[in-house]
Amino acid sequence: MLSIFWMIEFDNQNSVVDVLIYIFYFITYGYTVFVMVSYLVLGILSVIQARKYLRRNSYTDYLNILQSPEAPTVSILAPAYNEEATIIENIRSLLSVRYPNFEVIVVNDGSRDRSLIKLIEEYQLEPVDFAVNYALPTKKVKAVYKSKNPTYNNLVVVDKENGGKSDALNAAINISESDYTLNIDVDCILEEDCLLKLMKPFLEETDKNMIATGGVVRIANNCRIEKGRITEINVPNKLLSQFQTLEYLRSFLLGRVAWGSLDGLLLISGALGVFQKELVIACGGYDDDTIGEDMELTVRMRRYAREKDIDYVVGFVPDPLCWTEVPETWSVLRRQRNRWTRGALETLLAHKRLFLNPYYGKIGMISYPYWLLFEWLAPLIEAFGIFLLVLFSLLGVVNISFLYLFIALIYGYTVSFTIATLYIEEITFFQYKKRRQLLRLVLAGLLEPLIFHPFLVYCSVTGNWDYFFEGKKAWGSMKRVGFKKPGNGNKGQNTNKPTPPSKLRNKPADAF
Amino acid sequence: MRRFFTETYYFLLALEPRYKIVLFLVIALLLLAAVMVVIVLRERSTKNSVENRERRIKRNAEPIIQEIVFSEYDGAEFKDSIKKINRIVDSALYRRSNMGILNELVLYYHRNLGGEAFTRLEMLYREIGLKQLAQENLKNGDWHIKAKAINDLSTMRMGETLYDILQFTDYPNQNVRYEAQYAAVKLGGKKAMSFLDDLDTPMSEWQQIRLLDQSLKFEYELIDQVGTWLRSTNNSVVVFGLMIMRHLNQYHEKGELLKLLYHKNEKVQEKAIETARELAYSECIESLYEVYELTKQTRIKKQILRAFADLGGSKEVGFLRETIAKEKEYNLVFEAALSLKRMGRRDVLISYKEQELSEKGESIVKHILDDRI
Amino acid sequence: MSEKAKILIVDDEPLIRDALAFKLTKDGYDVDTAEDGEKAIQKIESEEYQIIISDIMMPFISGFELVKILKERGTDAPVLMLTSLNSETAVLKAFDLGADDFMTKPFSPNELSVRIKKLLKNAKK
Repeated sequence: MLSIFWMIEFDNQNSVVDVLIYIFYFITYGYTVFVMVSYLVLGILSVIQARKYLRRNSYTDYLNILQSPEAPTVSILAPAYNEEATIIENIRSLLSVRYPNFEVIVVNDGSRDRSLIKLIEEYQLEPVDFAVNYALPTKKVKAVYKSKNPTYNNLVVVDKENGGKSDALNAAINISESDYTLNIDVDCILEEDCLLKLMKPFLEETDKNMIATGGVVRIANNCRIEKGRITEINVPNKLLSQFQTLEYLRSFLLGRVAWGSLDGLLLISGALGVFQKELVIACGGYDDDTIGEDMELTVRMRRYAREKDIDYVVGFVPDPLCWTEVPETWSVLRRQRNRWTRGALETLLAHKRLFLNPYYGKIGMISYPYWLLFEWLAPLIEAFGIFLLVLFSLLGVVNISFLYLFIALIYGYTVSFTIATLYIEEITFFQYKKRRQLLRLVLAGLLEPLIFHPFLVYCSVTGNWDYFFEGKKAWGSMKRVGFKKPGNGNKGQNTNKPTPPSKLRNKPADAF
Repeated sequence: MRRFFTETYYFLLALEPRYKIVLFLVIALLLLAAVMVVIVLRERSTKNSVENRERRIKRNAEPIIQEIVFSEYDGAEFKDSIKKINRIVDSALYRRSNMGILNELVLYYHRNLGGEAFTRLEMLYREIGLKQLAQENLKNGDWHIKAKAINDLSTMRMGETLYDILQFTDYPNQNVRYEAQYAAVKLGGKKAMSFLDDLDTPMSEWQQIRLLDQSLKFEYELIDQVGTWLRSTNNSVVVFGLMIMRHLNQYHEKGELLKLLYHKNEKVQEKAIETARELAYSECIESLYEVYELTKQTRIKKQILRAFADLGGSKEVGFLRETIAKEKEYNLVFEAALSLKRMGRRDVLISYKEQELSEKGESIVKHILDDRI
Repeated sequence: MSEKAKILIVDDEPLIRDALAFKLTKDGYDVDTAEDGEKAIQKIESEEYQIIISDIMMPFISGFELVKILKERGTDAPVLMLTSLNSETAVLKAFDLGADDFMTKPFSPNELSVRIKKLLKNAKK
């Protein structure tokens, strides 16, 4: 039976080399099939969960929370570095989030531009005698500002020495007086009801202790933005961004919703996540040394909770609540993905004790192995498979026709899956209103496996190479100075200096 | 031509099984993809036309509803309006969907406009047939349809449907159950809250908030059941009872409150202290000292320090002063200082001698004394 | 002869704007609407209004900010806040910033009319 899947025709069936070849091929093909089936399963789970959420939401009245004196307190944490161009608008849109009881903490992480000055002017800030509790160790806080204008009485601006995004987030946590923190990227655009929707899982959980919740991040490229809100949702114009749209749709809508429903989510995007503050402090806050600080924190919090015997759960809201700009050039994208790969590696290695460890339940037995073997390893196996194919075809031992067929199979599957994703998006949140734009996405879906996917494999391979062999571990050799957003802003920069690494953001759950 | 097809056919037939399988799968998948593209595009068109219809109905019905709500209508004019609306929603294929759109419109108005607008909208709701629709949905729909129907009926204050709704207060699906409980309280008043007396399942905070919201409408009536709830073995009911005590000033159960200060569940304990503070129950101060010693939870200690501000006198001032000087835990020092400020004892805060306070303590006191924060 | 008083309604929800506009026009006022704080300020700069009714939770420039800006500019038209927020903090903040009256949603249209009449009467004095 197994002979069906052999691609290779070899004469001497007893040759050791041939048996090895056989094993490798079996692994590669078997692996691919397994991955494809797992995506299918996750897809189905996601649809079920998304529908449940939408149904539940059809009669939810958030007004009760809005008006309740018992609504939990939340701090929105907004680390900022060299954002003077957009910081005023970004903060303004944060201040107009609909929620009864929240504060916005902006951390100026030693910006070299006029970010702080602009803030002080616009919001009429003055330094106050704030006693900073360094519950989490951070770089020194130079000053804490509050507004003279009572309209902005829930705005706190922290000026501190440069220390990187994790450090800035930790500083904000130290300042926070709320029970929960909403961690975001300051240039992401939030839906006005996002806090209400994100807090709901915490309030609805009865049996367990909900320690964190994530939400869906969507792509803002080419969307019309007015007054800090998205007024018209469009599909991006550039093909590269369209590829990423599909990728985000798949990974968020199909991947994370499913994992969320199983309580197996290992990553809550740094662009949008609510955490229980006390717990974050208890397990040490964000790690200064990692690139993938958002994933690392989520995993560490889970471990901590498990080790303290807390009966906990991590939630996920399938609703699109946050919009972010994605890279529009290949080079910026490459740097971003390279970083994501290294970040994921760091986290995986730091928490390797989870691997197949029943003590950690689902996380140890399912999520971590899945991430390790099918997210991280997948591109590597693919690259390896391609390498072998090239090698064997040169040696003349490959059945070309079968190979082509198999590749066609994968292509067909990928395209179907993408179209299915679009369909699911249609029946759940249907945000892309124009038919023509949907067609563009379909077209992008046809090209994606041929152009985008190989590129991602390449980024992943180089990411791994950089990590293991070039020692680009922490922000390491690229001196950690900031987290400029990836995008058009970096064009024409001086390429001799190490470019400030871009922010680590919403990693898609799959490297499809 | 024919030869080509026959040759291809035999070629395919002659292939080994593995080729056949994969080829079949490829073709099937590509066909599937093509079909799905068509479906997606069609779905998009349908959704777009639904949205257009929605806009049209809203645009046409809005002025009529506004007339109804804001004018002193007599019977004839009212019937006239109903007819007009009927004409707008009527349609061979889409009546149900149109009624759904109208439903949302009426509910939206009801949520924002009160007073006499309530009665007029409710009259409209009944006459136009939306109430019947909701009752039908309640009987026949899936869980989420039922839940929505109950929610609608309670929002529109359809008291006469209370009996139908009560049938669902212990429905297996939790969402429906919650909606029914909420509706029962909203339409039936405080008597309907008796389901809390022997509730076994924990009640989520969301539900607590909603019920509390409804309860606030009872103003300061005496709620006898509060005692039962405070003694319940269901912690969420106890917490809810405490919330009721606090927001509705139910002073008569202070004795029970005292016991709850020692409750094993931290949430209950915290809530109890908070309630004692809000109700100005100064007799419990001694107990609070005891709890302060016994507990290891910083949160509980914080609450107690906070309570001293509202309940305490000069002895507590002394205690707070000591805490600021001696306590190591930042949050507790902070809370103690804040409490002193609340009590109006800034004089104590500035009275510390040099070296009496740690560096942290000093910066905290400075923070508290700064009124801009 | 008495001129019709001019009212400006500021709210980001179109249905509320329309409903209020309808009601107040019926009551005999000259009604104008603005969908956010920025547009409201523009309108106030170009025209004179006798009363301004504003929501609080609006994108970008909240009702609170609007009130403060208006009072700073010396607009003497009374400002009535009309909002879903009903917490004590919100009420206090509104009055602190200079609002002249405060109503929560759901609100009674008749009550609104009465309050408007009173504000107009007081303003005339």
